[in-house]
Amino acid sequence: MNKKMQKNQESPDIELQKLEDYIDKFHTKFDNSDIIPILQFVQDIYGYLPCDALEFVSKKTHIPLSRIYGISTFYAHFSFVPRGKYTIKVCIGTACHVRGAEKVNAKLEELLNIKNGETTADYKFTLESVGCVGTCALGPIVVVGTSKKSEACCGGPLKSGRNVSLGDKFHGQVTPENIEEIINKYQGETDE
Amino acid sequence: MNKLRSTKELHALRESLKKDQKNDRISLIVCGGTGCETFGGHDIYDAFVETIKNKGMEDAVDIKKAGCQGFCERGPLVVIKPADIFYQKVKKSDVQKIIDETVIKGKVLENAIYTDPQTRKKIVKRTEIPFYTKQLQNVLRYNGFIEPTSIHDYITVGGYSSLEKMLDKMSSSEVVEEIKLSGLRGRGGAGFPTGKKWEIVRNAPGDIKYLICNGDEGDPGAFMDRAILEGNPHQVIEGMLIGAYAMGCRKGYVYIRAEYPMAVKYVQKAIDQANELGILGQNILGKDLHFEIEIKKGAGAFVCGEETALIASIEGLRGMPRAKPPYPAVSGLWKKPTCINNVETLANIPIIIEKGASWFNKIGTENSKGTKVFALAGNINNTGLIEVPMGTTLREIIFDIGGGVTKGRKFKAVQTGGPSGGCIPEDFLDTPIDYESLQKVGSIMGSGGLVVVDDKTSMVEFARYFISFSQNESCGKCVPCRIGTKRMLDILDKILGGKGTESDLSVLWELGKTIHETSLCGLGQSAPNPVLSTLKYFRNEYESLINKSSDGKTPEKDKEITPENVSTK
Ligand SMILES: Cc1cc2nc3c(=O)[nH]c(=O)nc-3n(C[C@H](O)[C@H](O)[C@H](O)COP(=O)(O)O)c2cc1C
Ligand code: FES
Repeated sequence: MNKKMQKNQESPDIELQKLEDYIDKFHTKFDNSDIIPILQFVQDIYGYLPCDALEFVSKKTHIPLSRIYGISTFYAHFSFVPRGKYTIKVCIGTACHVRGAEKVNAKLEELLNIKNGETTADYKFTLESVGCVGTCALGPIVVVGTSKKSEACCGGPLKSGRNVSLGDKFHGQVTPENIEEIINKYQGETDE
Repeated sequence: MNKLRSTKELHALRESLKKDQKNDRISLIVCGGTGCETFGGHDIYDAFVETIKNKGMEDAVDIKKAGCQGFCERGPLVVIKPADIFYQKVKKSDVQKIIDETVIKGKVLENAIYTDPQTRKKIVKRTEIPFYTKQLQNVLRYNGFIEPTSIHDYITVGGYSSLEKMLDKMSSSEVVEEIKLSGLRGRGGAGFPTGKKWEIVRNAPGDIKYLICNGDEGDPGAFMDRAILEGNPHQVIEGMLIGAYAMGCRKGYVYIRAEYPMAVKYVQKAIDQANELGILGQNILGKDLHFEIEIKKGAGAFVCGEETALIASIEGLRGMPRAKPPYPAVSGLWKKPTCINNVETLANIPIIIEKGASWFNKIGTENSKGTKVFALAGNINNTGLIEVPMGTTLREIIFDIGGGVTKGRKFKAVQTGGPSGGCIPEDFLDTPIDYESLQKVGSIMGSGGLVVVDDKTSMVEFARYFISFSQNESCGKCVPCRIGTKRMLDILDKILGGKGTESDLSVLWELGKTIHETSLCGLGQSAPNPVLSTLKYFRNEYESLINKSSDGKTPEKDKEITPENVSTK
């Protein structure tokens, strides 16, 4: 897990307007119970938790950065590093495990040339595992989180824009043989 | 939608909706559950809508996208009413044919109907397929038939009539009494009597009380709650309303895992509709009942399904459990009395109020009443979602409903209760499903996941899988769970790596027992179950790994466990 907060070396100037609007829509007196929804929003619009955004949140809400850090590291959904355009989530829940999820994961690592938990150099794919997505009947399952460029922010390693979650596409009864085809389909898709 | 100002108006709305329903119309129900969606269910739905439009048949045919029908293995599913024709594995190219042949001419499309793999018999009607005939659907009765996004659909089939009945005829204490009488026990795992929990919260001092619906469903291999939330969210909301009335809660939360985006969407929509109709909010149906519901999305932590961790998570803290007592029913969310109930528990409530406790407690066994929804998965033919009366045997579930083990292989074990449960071997297949019987054979009911494994599966590897899951999800607060599960994992790795010794088995056993007895929360207490149960029933597999490793030579002298020879990660 990349659970270390880091300053973005390349281009720290992320667009904070949307985040500010969102926080302003909240109330004026913040308490702890607001952190998780705000972090979920941050992750939604930037695709990860940029350091600057967290500092900004802390300043706006008067919730200490240390506390925000504590929350971000506890919950598996939060990431401190940018993610690829497509997040490929291999289900390693029991049902999928029994049906050979490990082999699918190995094949994906080989195809994308990265380890589980990493992102490809072109920021196209992030490979990670999840525990049960609730469609065990059709395992092994691979979920591809598709995203599109957002106008919300700029900068980051992907210069032109960050990714916004557009929803997930479920692929069922995946095998090491047919996973290649699925990946190729995404590989072929060009940026709009 | 106009706000309803009384139970009478709700009743009138239902009657008028029923009248509008044209019974002679053919309706096409396309499964829109996540399972069928994986096979392209939405595309099928769109294709139907387009074809019907092109033919100008909008007035003659109803088309619905409903929730999970349970038989996920066979998706995408299409059911045609009123003839009850069941089409499975429907392809886009079938759509035109279904309209032309079945809808217009009333002919059955041979290639899309179900063939019983055992008898090779073709079965046309849904109600005649063994997968369904052996079930008793209470909680799931409307799942797959109504549109989850339409409150009118729910009201038409009788939804919110329990709310109506309660508001007209019952006092809050009568509601609690009725639930107690029904014998309903929590479906979230522990099986605590729901009526008793409600009574404690009701009697707890203070004006502010909360009701939380636990939809975290983190057990890998379980998807019951997801199907209910996605297929019939209003039934859960109705259950929450009844609970709010009985206990005097004004605010409720539905905690849903972030992995379930469709459930979040549908429940939000259902809440909005209920608010609009005056079924949620202030002065519900003109009565002195005020209740609002908010969704809280999880952020990826299995332990947050545990009630005190869930409360910590809603409060915006790291989701770590705390010692009980005090129980949440006395001191919960923001230290106020809080009732936490599982999704399926709450979905049972409207049925009990509607049909009465005495109807409900006739179903099931002496100490476990009603039905239970199970998710069948793993090496089993008919994977999917089923509902059976308590007391049904594992054999009936796996072989009669589940159609047996895939590829004609031999059954080896069934794992119930997820990472907290145990593996049950063939000898105990005639165990009736209820809370106590499952415990007796070393497993638990859990939330309802049933994962079947065949004779190719290594039980040691399977046990390792669960321990590694629990170890990963351990929040780290208490030592037995944090370090103990890690040690168990180390020992299992050693055995699987061919370096195991006889004494490892006794250490595993003792370690497991200790973790069970000394952990802070249910995660740690139950984490050793998969290892303990496999050690008990499949000890030969552990032994053969150990014997193989010694290769006829004397086994490597058992090393003391010292800080140097164990990894400390
Ligand atoms: C590690 C752990 C995970 C749990 N996960 C869930 C869950 O996902 N859903 C659930 O309803 N209960 C879960 N529970 C049980 C809850 O703590 C609680 O008992 C339950 O929600 C109470 O509702 P009920 O009485 O209706 O069953 C979990 C317990 C533990 C220890
Ligand atoms: S185990 Fe993979 S979807 Fe449930």
